[in-house]
Amino acid sequence: MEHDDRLVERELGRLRDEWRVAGEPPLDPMWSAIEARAFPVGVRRQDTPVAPFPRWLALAAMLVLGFGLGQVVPRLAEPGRPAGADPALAVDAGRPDADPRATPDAPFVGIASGYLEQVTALLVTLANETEQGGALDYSRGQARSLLATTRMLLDAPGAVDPTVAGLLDDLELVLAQIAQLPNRPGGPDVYLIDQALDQRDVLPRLRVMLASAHDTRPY
Amino acid sequence: MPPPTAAAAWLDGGDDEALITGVLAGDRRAGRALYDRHAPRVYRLVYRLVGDEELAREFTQDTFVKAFSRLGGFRRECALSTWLHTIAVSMVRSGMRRVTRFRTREADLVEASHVAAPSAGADPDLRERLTRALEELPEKFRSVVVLHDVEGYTHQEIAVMTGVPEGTCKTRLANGRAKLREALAVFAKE
Repeated sequence: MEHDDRLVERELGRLRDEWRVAGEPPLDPMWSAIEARAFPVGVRRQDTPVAPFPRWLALAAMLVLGFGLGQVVPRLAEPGRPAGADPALAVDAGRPDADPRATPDAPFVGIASGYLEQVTALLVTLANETEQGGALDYSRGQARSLLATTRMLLDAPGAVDPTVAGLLDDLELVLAQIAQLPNRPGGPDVYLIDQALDQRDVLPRLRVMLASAHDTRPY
Repeated sequence: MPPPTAAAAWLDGGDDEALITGVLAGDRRAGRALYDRHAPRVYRLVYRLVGDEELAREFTQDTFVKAFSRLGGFRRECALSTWLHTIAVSMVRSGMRRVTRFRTREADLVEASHVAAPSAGADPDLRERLTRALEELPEKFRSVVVLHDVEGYTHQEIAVMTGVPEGTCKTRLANGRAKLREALAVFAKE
């Protein structure tokens, strides 16, 4: 019996290298079949590697440096009015003798301007914090604060046009994700945020909106 | 060994967790990287269990499709590789039941139209006898013997993969080995 046991054990061990040894797996053909079933058509394919944080940094910095954030304010405040048509509204909004046209929307002008500025700054800060491996306390706190502002802007009837409302919807999601980040950088949650920014084209849309405001501004 | 894909190269330093998050976010590249990392092992395991390239390919595909669809429910109670192998073993077991039913029906048809062929001639050597005995083992014994004695998994891992208690795995291994011993004993007498 003991002899048999050793024999079985020895022979089974030999089978490891001889019995049903698979050849090279057909990885590409199998993947094609898997991809078609597991990733539904319509999900955007990304063929270039993601470099999440430098991209955030570059785009966010471009937003800050390349465009005047205040120029987008009229579009946020008053749908239909050419963007940047009356920048004085923002300046005079708080004065008693301010232009009466500004009265109902003026508070939004200041809030929206500050909001966009802070969102952009938050993305820059988060990119820095993540790159440097620092704690994310500040970004999470800022995101919570901006989340409240986002919801206020979205809830204000007629305060924003549908395009901007769509962007605010997406920013709300991103801010909620940032607010819920664990206090450790570089984890999968940050990757998820990057995915949300990427798949929803948040940064390019923000950039286009700002560029549009910039182009229509009176000289 | 083929060269790694670009996605695999990019994610070479990344861990499974980052890939899981990417897949859950709908990123195909993360899916491909995760697949590149684990598919060769899954395929080899499946092939060892089924001994057929076409079936190994099908079951491997099914394994990853199911894994991607259920990745959100992966609870990190074991390594991702173990979880994938669990799905693979489950796919093989359910798939082979279908295949066996089909082959049995097919064999019945063949038998009905032909005089039963004699079984293969005398076994030329011990190895062939052993492999034949292994292939003829009931599936519940064979999978445990293959996973433990050929693939080198622990009883704990096999228990997770097959969904039976560790003690049952040990019993099945002992029973499977006993049947193999019987086959070899006959050979020894010959």
